Parts: sequence; structure tokens; C-alpha cells
Amino acid sequence: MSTPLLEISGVTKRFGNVAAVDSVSLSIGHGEVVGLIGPNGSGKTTLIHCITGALVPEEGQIRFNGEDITGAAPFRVARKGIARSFQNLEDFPTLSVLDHLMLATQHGKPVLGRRTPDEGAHQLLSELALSHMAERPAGELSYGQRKLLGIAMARIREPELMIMDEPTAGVNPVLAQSIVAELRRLATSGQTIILVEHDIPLVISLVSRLIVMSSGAIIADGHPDEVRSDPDVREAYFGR
Amino acid sequence: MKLARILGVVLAVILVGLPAIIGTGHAGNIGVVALLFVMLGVSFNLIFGMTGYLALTHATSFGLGAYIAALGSTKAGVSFPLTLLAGAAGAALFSLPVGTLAFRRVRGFPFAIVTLGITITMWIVADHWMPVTRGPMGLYGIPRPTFLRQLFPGSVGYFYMGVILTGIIAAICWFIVRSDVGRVLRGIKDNEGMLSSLGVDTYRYKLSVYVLASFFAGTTGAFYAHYLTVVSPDVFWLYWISIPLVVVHVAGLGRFWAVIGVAVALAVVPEYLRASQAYQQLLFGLLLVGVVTLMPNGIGGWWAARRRRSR
Repeated sequence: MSTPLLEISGVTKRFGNVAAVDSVSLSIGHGEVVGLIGPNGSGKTTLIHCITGALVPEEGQIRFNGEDITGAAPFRVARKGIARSFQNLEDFPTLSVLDHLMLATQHGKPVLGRRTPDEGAHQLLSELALSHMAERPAGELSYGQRKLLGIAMARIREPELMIMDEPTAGVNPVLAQSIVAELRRLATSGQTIILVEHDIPLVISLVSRLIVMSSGAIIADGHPDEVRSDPDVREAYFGR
Repeated sequence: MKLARILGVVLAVILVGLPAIIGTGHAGNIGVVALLFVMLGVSFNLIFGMTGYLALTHATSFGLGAYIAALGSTKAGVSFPLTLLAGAAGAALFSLPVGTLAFRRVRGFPFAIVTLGITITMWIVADHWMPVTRGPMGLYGIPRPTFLRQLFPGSVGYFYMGVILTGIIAAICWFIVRSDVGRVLRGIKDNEGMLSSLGVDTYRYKLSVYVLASFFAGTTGAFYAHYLTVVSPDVFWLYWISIPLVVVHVAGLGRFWAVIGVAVALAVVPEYLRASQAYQQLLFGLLLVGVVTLMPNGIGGWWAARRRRSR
């Protein structure tokens, strides 16, 4: 049996007396596309922060490709091959769009198999319909375009694991479609993805496995159809 | 920034030609002050302008460079090039533990406060460590390189040496600003957390550029000590903090060519207005308030935005 790409064992993260993530264990295999859902405050983003090194869990262990990355600095985790996009806008407002992609690849692998990052970056921008904005500062882009840029930064690094935290939240329907198309393309390309989303129909249409969190714990984990019919999930998440 | 570059080159040509044209020591003196401002400005731009970290220890590095050069030449009889190097190296060495501690522990406003604390401490040490610094009396009799006096009158020879030194420092700073490293430094200023999540060890970049900026500030301090031939604890204090701060803020953070332009203007204009140092500081203060209020991104930022809009 091959080693899972990501293995989380008994991870707990507390803020004061509140356990935002409570003894969570899960494993994700290579090429899996996993949806992570749950009501606001269920611990999804905290768990993502623990995986990416932004937060250090009090208990438990996180292994990536068999290597212990628990509490490792975010830049070390990123170098192992984990890329993420953020729930809120996280970019460099005064740097150009192209600069963002150059930064993303500065310490990573060769860009999309090409020799110079510029060519790869231009190609990616073209695919995402951002070419005309290549030289503009990110601060001049629309909200949705900046979300797309966040995905582009994650993608251009060719990570082993992509974690997308609410990629379509707050984005206008037209750009949201572009983001969904990009997610669909990634999902069918064999890319391992953890997708955190509130748009349940969207998640279900993209993932092969659904994990539901509530009050810091995992209450369901399985095929989307099974999970949707789980009484605990319906109670905690769908409210019926 | 094509126009800004042309302006920078024109200013550089004026700098080079001015003393020779006028042929007096006074023009050379103004030129040396301009070069001091440029060296401090471009080096401070590396750390504050590019990363946004307000390292007020730039004055400490300048003061250390000045005192090390003064002590080396007056007490140990060390020659000019070596005192210059020792001043620079001393400032860089001092900045290493300071940066190691500060960059690990604090960001933003607290970082500025930590560096301000160090600056105050070093000023007090220079003012009270009588056996070494001679306190408020300072150190005097620091020699200027003798070979220059034979070639040029007054300060003109020293000015030309400064042009070479400034050229080297500015060229290195320009190379960094334009390189991939420069992009990372700008990224630190915009969103350091995001940069870490892209796999960039921001701590290493910050520390490296801080030590390098301190090295250049130390060089500038040593150059200043040999120019003025006297150093006092004031080299650690307000005037030498305000100069790089005003230059970089008025020019705009990270605006290399604007930094050079503003540095030269701030050195030359008060001289022609015959303003004393007190009036200069008044001018700097008013300029800082005016520019920060009316042009938050400085003159360089305002110019770049204007050009973008006109495209």
C-alpha cells in the first residue's frame, strides 16, 4: 500500500479553552480531489492553517509524503509541495500580475516545464484570460481577477497538493465560472486538491470525496452521495 | 521611469562637473554633502523603501562607521581605505545580532521602536564612554587622504572620490532593486505572510538586506568622518536619522531614481538658501509632512501613477 500524500493524526488546535480543531485524523491519497465543508466556525480554515504551517497544533502529527511537517514554518511547508489559495484576498497589491507569478516560481520548480518563468507565466495568464493585465499592479484588478490570480500563483508552482479555500466566494458569476472551469480542469488532470467551499452543489460536482466538519471535528467522510444522506451531516450542516 | 532615469543621469553629470566648472572648494563641499545623502538614501531605500521595515538603526550604522574610522585613523594610524572598510564592516557586524533578534521577534511598528531604542542607546554610549569616544568633545584630527590634496583644491578631490564610492554603492543597490531579490523585497513590503506561503524564507532576505544596508551606511559614516575630520555623538542622532527617512519618504518607498533626485535636491537647495542645519531640519520636517499628506506614495509614486493614468 502506497504512503498517503497527506496524513493527519489526532491534530488539535485550541484558542483559549475552545478547541477549534479537535483531534482530527484523516489521510488523502495522491490524485484525490477532496471537498472540505462545514458551517462557519467548524474549524476548516484552522485545519488548513495547521497543515500549511500558519498555525502550530498543540497535539497530533501532520505528515506529507511520509515526512513529519507538524509545526514547520509556512515557507518550508510550501517548499515540500503544498500550495494554497486564500479565503480572503492575499496578494501583492503594488506588484504586477506577472511579478506575482515570478515570485511564485522563484523558489519552486521549473514553470510548466518551460525553461524561463516568463514564458510559462505568460502562457498561464493567457489560459486564465489575464494576459491583458500582465503588467498592471494587482491592486488594480477586480476582486474576481485577484482570486484567479491567487489560483494561478498556486498552480504555476506545480504543487503536489493544492488547497483552495473558498475560491469563488464573493466573485461575480462570470469570473466564478472561469474559476470553476479552472478547478474542473485541475480536478481532471490528476492534481491532488483539498477544496474548501460553501457552495455545496459546486463541491459535489467537482470532488470524489467529501469531508464534513462541525465544532472542530470530522462528522462524515466519504463519497458525496453517502455523505449527503448521512443524518448527522443533515442535522449539523443542512439543518434538517 | 525613463524620464526619471534621464533626470538621474543629468543630476549625476552636474554632480561630476560642478566642482570642476566652478573650481572652488565650496561647490565641492556641497557635492560631498549631496553624495552623503545619496549614499544614505539608496542604502536606506534597500531596507525601508523595499521591505517597509523602518530600520532607524541606519543612523547607528552611520555613527559606528564614523567612530570606527575616527578611532582607527587617530588612535591606530590605520590608512584611509582600511578605515573605510573597517567602518563598513563594524556597522555590518553590529547589525547582524540586532537584525537576527529584531526580525525574529517583531514586525511593523514594534520593529521601528526596537531600532529606535538601539539608536538612542548608541547615542548615549557615544556621549558617555569618555575613554573611547571622549564624550561630547568628540574625536578630532581625523586625516583626509593626502594624495587628493595634491591633485585637487579644497574638497574637490574628496568629492570625486565620493562620486566613485557613491557610484559603487548606488550601482549595487540598483542591481538589487531590479533583480529577483528586489521583487522579493517588494513582496515583503506588500504581504510578507503570503510570500512565506510561496516558499520564500523572508527572514533570510530581510536579514541579508539589512546587514548590507548597514554596511553601506557604515561606509558612508566613515567617508563622512574623514571629510569633516571631526566626529561627535550627534552622528548617531536626529539629523542623521531624519535625512534617509525624509529622502526615501519624499521620493517614495522603493523609488530608486527618485531617491537619488531627492537626496541631491535636499543637499543642494538648502545650501543655496544659505540655511543653517536647524533650518534644514525645519525644511525636512515640513517637506515630510507635506509630501506624506499630499502624495502618500512620494514624488516617485505620484509620478508613476500619473504616467500609468496617461497611458
